[in-house]
Amino acid sequence: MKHNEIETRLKNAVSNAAPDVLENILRTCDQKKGTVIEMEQKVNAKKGKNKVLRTCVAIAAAAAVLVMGVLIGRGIGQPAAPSANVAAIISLDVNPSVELRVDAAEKVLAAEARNADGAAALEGMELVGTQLNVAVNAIVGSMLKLGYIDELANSILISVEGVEGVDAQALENKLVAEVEEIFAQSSVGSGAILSQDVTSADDALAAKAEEYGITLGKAALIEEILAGNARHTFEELAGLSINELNLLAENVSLTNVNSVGQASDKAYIGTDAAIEVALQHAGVAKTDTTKLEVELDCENGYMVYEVEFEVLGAEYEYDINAQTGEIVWYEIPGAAQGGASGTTQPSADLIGEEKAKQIALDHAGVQESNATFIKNKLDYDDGKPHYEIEFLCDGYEYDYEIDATSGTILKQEREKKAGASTTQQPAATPNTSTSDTAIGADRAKEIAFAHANVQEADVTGLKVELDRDDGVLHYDVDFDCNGYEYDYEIDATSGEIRKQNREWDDDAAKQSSTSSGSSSNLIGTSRAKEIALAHAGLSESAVTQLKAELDREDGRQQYEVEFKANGYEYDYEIDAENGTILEWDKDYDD
Amino acid sequence: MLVWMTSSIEHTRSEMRELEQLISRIAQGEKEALGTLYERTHAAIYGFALSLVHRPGDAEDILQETFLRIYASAERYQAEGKPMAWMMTIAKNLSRMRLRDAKRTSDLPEEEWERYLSSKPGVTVEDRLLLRAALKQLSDAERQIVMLHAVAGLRHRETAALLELPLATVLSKYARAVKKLKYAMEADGR
Repeated sequence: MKHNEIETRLKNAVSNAAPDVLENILRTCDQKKGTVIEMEQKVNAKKGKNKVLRTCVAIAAAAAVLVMGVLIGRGIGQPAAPSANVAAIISLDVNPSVELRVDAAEKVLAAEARNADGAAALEGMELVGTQLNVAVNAIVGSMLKLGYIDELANSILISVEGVEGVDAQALENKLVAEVEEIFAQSSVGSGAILSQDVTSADDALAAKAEEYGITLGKAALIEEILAGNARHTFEELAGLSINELNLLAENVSLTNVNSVGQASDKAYIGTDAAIEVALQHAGVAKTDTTKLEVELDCENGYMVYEVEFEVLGAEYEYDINAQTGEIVWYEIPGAAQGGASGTTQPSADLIGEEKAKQIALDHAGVQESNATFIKNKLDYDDGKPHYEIEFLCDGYEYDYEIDATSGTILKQEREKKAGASTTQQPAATPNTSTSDTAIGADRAKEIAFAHANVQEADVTGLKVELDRDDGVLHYDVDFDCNGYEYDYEIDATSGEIRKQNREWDDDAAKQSSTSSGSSSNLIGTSRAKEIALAHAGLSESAVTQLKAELDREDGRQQYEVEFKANGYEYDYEIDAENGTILEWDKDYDD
Repeated sequence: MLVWMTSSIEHTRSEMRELEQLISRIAQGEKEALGTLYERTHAAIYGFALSLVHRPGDAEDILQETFLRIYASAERYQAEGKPMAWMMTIAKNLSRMRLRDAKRTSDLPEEEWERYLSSKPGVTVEDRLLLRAALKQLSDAERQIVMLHAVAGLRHRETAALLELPLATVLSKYARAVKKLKYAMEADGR
């Protein structure tokens, strides 16, 4: 039995075992909505005010309850059952995250780990009832002992949240001095300490911290870094350690966070080595470059060195994994770029949204006045611009993807909305049969062919299956014709087309003799292999089971390149036309 | 029936985009979108919840709470291409809260499982064997990792981030877990 067979089987098994609670969920939403609206109406009646009721008020209220439930562990003002009188909450983040609640006399009321490393750091310690400075000593000592703080990663974040009347800043200063002292006596010597007063942090930030399972303090630090560098996302930074965040913070100016000491970058290859990797890949000597710049940054949750330089006015850019020295992305003149890059800028000659809408409406045979548009959007599917147009008409939902430059329909789908009563039968549908017997596979096929306006002789890959979905017996009719892939769902009793989908299919296009414009200038499998191997930093002789095949995803052609080396399995998706690495993955191979 | 082409068990970008579109419709209060999102993801969430809380009844509650939470916080979701990881984070946090509240140790309630599985007509004999193997022969961490990758379609590095484990650990545990399941099934002649 193969690896992926187990995966598929397990997926099916869990699907079969999963309970169906959708109705309960929807009912709960409704009930909550009902209650709140009733309350609001009473208020309105009393005050005579005219409030606009949002449908989601109840949901928001339910959310507040949930969030509060989560925050009880740390929230000021909602003392947890046994311990009252919380005066301040102190969080210590390294990678382990720990929160301490203290009373006005700085006695620890509770100590709680906020992640798995935090639990390890707290293990076996009884901190409740001790003085704050003793507890901090013990925790930081434990982090040092367990190697969470060392010379490779020497940063700690101290955040203080005080109740009214408590001087959180004084407490912050005292703790910084305390931790400085601990560092000074340890093998680390001078560490890097970030500290902040988060008393005025808002609920949105607290909710975000909860959502990502991090402390309020860490969330506040991330917000500060994001404010100075909008390229990153919260999620991306949430996974970093404080040392990594501290290194990123060097590129921005922090306003609410105080910083003492220098974050260690000893875990990384260093700027010189990063430059060397880039120069070697580019095949240029350092003396030939100008405007050479290096910066430590974060890409997709990894620390990278961004190396930029120019050779004879042409720009080179590299992202190099700061720990391994691997090139994770590059853009060099005259060649394809590697790795995930930004989106393509819209070019001037797009057909425009109105035109795209018209194409969709014309195709669907729907008047604009009868259509309710639910979506018109210019999207970049892997860098290729297209319009996504969705509208409702007569109980059907139409879904189009239209190439933004050529106006070609890349994808179209029509689906009957649940519960909608059909007033219009598709032209190809026979007079509705009242009989309960199925119309038969042949009739279903005919209906689909007639609707698609194709001849049976022209289609390939025809498949007709009787299936049951949502309790409705229907025929699934799938086939390829003239480069398109067609999928139909035909009601087995009435012959009505329940769903139809036509999608451009490059594989089908290649096989189809009648297809006119299949792309010609592809880079070829050997070039695709070269690109992948270069990216992985491996020579062809160093890998086994090297495979490359042309495939299609989202209507574009791409090479899938796979190989194995050093116990890993590599997987690349490479744009077949321009050689861009669309996606890659390196996985442990047993 | 949905038409999407998945080359592997990992989700493709277009699937992720579709899920994000659903979340943004949910943010506007569209309950139908919640239903669709449920159809597409509930098994994954249930599987993961089960791997955390163990009891089928608890996992069912977590499944329900997760969707209520998704409905409530869809507005705050920022489209960053990782909707599955976001939903799984919610499920994880709710599961951990439940375990903490109940102060439950993580013993495996085998009988409850068997009872539950026999009450589900859709579960085949083979499904039952595989789930039993996943329950008995995998460690907690292995089970969570397998559920996140094989059932939820998360990438290994997303799993690593979610479970706060090094990527290398996730990769090796995953390989070991699948191997264990494979042996269990082969030993049974399936």
